[in-house]
Amino acid sequence: MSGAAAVAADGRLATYDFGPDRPFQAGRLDAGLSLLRAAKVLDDDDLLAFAPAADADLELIHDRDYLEALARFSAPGPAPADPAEATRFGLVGDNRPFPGMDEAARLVAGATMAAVDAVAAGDLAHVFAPVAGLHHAQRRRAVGFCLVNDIAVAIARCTRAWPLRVLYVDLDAHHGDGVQAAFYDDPRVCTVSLHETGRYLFPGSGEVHELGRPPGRGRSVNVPLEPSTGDDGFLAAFDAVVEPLAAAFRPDLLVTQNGCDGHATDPLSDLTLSLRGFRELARRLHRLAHRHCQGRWVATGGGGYDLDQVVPRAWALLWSELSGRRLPARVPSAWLAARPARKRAEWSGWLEPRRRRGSGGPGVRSLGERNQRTVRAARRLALPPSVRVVYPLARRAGGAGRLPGWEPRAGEHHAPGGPLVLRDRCPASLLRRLEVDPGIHAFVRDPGQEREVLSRIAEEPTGEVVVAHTPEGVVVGYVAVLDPEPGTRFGSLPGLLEVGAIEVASGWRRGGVASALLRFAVEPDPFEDLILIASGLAWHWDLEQSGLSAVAYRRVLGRVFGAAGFEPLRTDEPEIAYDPANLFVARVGSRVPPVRRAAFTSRLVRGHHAVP
Amino acid sequence: MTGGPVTVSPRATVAAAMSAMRRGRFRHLPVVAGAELVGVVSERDLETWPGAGVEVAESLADRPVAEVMTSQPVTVWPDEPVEVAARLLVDNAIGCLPVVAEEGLVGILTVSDLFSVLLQLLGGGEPSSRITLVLPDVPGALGRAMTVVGELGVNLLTVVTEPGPEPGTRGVVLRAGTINAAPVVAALVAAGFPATGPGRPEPDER
Repeated sequence: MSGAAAVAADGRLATYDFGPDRPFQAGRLDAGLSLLRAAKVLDDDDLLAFAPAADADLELIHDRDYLEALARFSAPGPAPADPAEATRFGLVGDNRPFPGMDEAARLVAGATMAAVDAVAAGDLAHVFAPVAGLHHAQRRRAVGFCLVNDIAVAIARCTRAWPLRVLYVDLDAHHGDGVQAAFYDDPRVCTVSLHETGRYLFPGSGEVHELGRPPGRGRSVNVPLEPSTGDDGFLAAFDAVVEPLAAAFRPDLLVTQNGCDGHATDPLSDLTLSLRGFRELARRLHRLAHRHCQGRWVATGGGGYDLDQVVPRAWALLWSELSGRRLPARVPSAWLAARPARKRAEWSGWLEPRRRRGSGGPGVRSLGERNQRTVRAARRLALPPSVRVVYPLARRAGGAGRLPGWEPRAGEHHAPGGPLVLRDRCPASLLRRLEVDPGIHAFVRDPGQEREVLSRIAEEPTGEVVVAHTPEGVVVGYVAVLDPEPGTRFGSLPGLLEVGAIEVASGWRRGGVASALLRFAVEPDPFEDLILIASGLAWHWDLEQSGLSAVAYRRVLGRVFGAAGFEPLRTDEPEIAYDPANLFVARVGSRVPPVRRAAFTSRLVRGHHAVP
Repeated sequence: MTGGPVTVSPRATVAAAMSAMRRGRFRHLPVVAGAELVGVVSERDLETWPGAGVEVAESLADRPVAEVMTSQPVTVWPDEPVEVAARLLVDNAIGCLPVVAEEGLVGILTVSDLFSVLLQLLGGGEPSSRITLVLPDVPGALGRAMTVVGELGVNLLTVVTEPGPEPGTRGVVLRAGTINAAPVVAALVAAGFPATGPGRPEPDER
């Protein structure tokens, strides 16, 4: 083994084979690995050794009676007599038993375990496990070609051995339901799945509101996308959700499921992605691993059923990204010659996706109306407001000038940590000269980016940023006031703005900085003509670092807002009503006309639902 | 239904009933005197009582539940078919049905319970692919379509039919227990049954 990257696969994995009449068949392994060898980007030294998973490993995720059934149905010879038992464990149809399937499934799990262990231990930076990523398998049921949940087993084993936070990113066309279910209440494993909507497609789950169960609420993230989303739409959704989620969650290890069944020619989905999209996604994941996880990245192959055109090339692109080895531009002719004759003509001959002419980069505009709505909802639920502000979806248009101008002000606050300068209406040029305290965690772990981010907020046309900084010019807290998001309940009310984010660096908390900032922020006279709202979703709060319970955190937040004239209000707005610890507050300016006040109040409670 | 539901006595105060509902996060309470069901009180009753807003008016809070409850509510037997219970709820425009057996109140069935049943009937809780069909409303059409699916060895989790979009048609919703549903859709289309599902999505609505 050499270098910082390896492949966890060998010929034994070809035994994971549901037969030539099933989309998941042995030919996948050989077609993929032989192309890597022919392209001279893989040799035997790159292979990571692995052993079949033991009972003790599989039982971290699966029930013993299911594993026993798997072994029983795996024996060669006539099928066991009880068809109802096979159906109960899902061992029919897609997952029709084949001789040796128990050992084959244990090998897949063993490969993923070895990959995750090697990366978690620091022996390798990146590992690619191509025949792995069986994300549908449930505790006691085989689902969608997935007999054991290798990803869940490997993550469960690794998080038991090391205190790591794991970000799992699932890019398969199908919802990563099995992995999500395995960690649904686990706050240290954050799962995010981008997939084709379950309106028609298997498995039917993966709605935006599948959020996780306490204490893991907010750590299951789902972005169901429309058929025909295409590369640009898929990449825009990825950028809008996954990158900021990593910044918010602060993972130590990245595990991905890089299913390529979203490709336009794949028989199992209708997302219409292309190899260019897969390469861009691999680049983004690589960057994310280095930015947030010290490089620790395990990629699994997942689904992908266009075995001739797509799977080998998608694997080659992914491995090229992990290993840093350049692919030849054209498919090696010797490899092509070894393909069955009827397949050869289908190959365009290009290994690297060709550059598309005249294509702009992806942006939110490439998301259709439905996808935009989905992405906005996923962001509101998954990302704390401070992170949403740092990673804006798009320039907010139309609201410019709603906040009347006033002269920039400066104030002061004496915190236990030292004197602080409070400033509003900060010009971008000033912000570029300030530094940002590392205890403000909404900012990415990327030195040099922080000032850029702050000035970008200040340049938002309707935004207002108020900062607290030390006399030496280090920002230790900020408040951002913005238009509420379009499409939300209070979004269309005139004269209403939202306190989009308030954050104080971890070393400066409990010093009254947040209260001082907020009081200072709402002092200017124009706020008397406005309604300001703010909401807090309990699962966004930094309970781990603050050491507070959700209820205690809510009380602290309520006091901070109360000191600036905000009042807590009852509302049945569904995102607030989701959890009794959530908080909704508003400050109605003294000159707000009664009509506007009434319009706002009438939106607080809409239905006859029980209001917590 | 929910067995052994929380109940109140007719002499309990409205405030006590309201706080029991808030605590349990439900909206209906059977009112029971001894073993006998004497009424139902709902959050809606309290909110729409003259003079009460969303917040229960002060004057109402100390009144006994007996004054605001619905007396002699519609009830069902425990073995009543679910469609009968659903029709009682719809026809009477009510949100719950106390379930009463010979020995007295045994449970409460609410609209939420019926949604759980609907979810099971439509197979929405299990990993599956969704396929919709429009069939002529004639004997044998459904059977012929299902034969096409059965011959592919695909397990159907649920089959639901409903009145179709045109007179003389039936809409059918299938939940197929396979990740590989495109061949099922293709086989149905090839056999002359217009089907929508994976591999043949609806026209792009974006």
